[in-house]
Amino acid sequence: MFWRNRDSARKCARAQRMLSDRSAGLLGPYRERWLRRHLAECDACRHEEEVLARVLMLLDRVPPLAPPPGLWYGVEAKIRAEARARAAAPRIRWKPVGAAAAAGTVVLLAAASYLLPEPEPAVTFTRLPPDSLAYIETHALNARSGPLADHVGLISFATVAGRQRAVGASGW
Amino acid sequence: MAVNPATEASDALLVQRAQAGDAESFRVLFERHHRRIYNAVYPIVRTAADAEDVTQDAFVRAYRALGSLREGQAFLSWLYRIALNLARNHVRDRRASLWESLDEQVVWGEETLERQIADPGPGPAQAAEEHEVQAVVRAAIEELSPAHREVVVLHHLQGVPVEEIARVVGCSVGTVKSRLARARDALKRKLRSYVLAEP
Repeated sequence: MFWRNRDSARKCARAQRMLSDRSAGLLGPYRERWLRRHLAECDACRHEEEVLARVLMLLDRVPPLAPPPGLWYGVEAKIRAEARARAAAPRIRWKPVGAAAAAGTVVLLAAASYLLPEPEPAVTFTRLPPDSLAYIETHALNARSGPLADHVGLISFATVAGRQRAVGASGW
Repeated sequence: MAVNPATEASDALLVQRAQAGDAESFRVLFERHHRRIYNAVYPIVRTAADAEDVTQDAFVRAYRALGSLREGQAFLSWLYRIALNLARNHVRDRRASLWESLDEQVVWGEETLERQIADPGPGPAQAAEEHEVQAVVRAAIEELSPAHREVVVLHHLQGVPVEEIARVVGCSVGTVKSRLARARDALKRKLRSYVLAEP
């Protein structure tokens, strides 16, 4: 008896939730059939269906409230006050300011590239015979293709070796 | 009787004219929609004075942002969105200031008293009036959670279709339907005794 009552209460709770779902268009055909069958045999849930319908009818009986007259004047006054404040504020002409800033940046970058000394490689070589320098240069250039190679270091080695070799060849 | 052509124009046309600087067109948009906006925000902010302020602010914001309204975008949905956001922010700010003011103590002569809060419920005379039903239903709606209240107000009191509400609130149609169903459950619980007592 207890189990039957508990099962029935669970079904009723489910049905009552479905009543609201159905009113909002959320019920699919399977649940719709289940609900209809349950309503056919359950007085309590049919009563709940009636209560829900009456509540929804009550909602339809609430007319819109009338806003107080003169609301527009407040809107108009606020819009006018904002327009006045905008007109009174000093205007910055952003287009010329932006163009001047861009031009300034270009000039600064150009000047920096001329004025700042070119960074020298940190590596220096003691004077080596031209053969050794050629070997270092070639080896550094070949080794640079390795996946774990220190590209920057190897290129620096090759550059310095190449320069020294060139200077040596020209009588340094 | 002469008919003002502006009052006959569609929202889209009026928005176009207002965007071009025609203040009269914006006034017509206001006349056309301010009742809906007032009624949409009233149950959220809960006082007439706040509903007035929020309605006015919503139109001022809308006027300021008219340029951002895309062609073909529905003015009313856009306006609802602005108004509901303002109403939510208004309630949040008021709640913050209410906590502050409730924490303060009242100085009465030489005594310091705890602040007493007046019961805002309807008096017996008001309940006896013809508008009793409306008052009871409005009170029940105001007790709903903010998300449920919004969909109930827009759908039941304003007649906005579910698909439109989804656009206004920024969620799926399924979510709106689900909120509507749960809100109806809640309203049924709140109004059950009233409905059953009615002849």
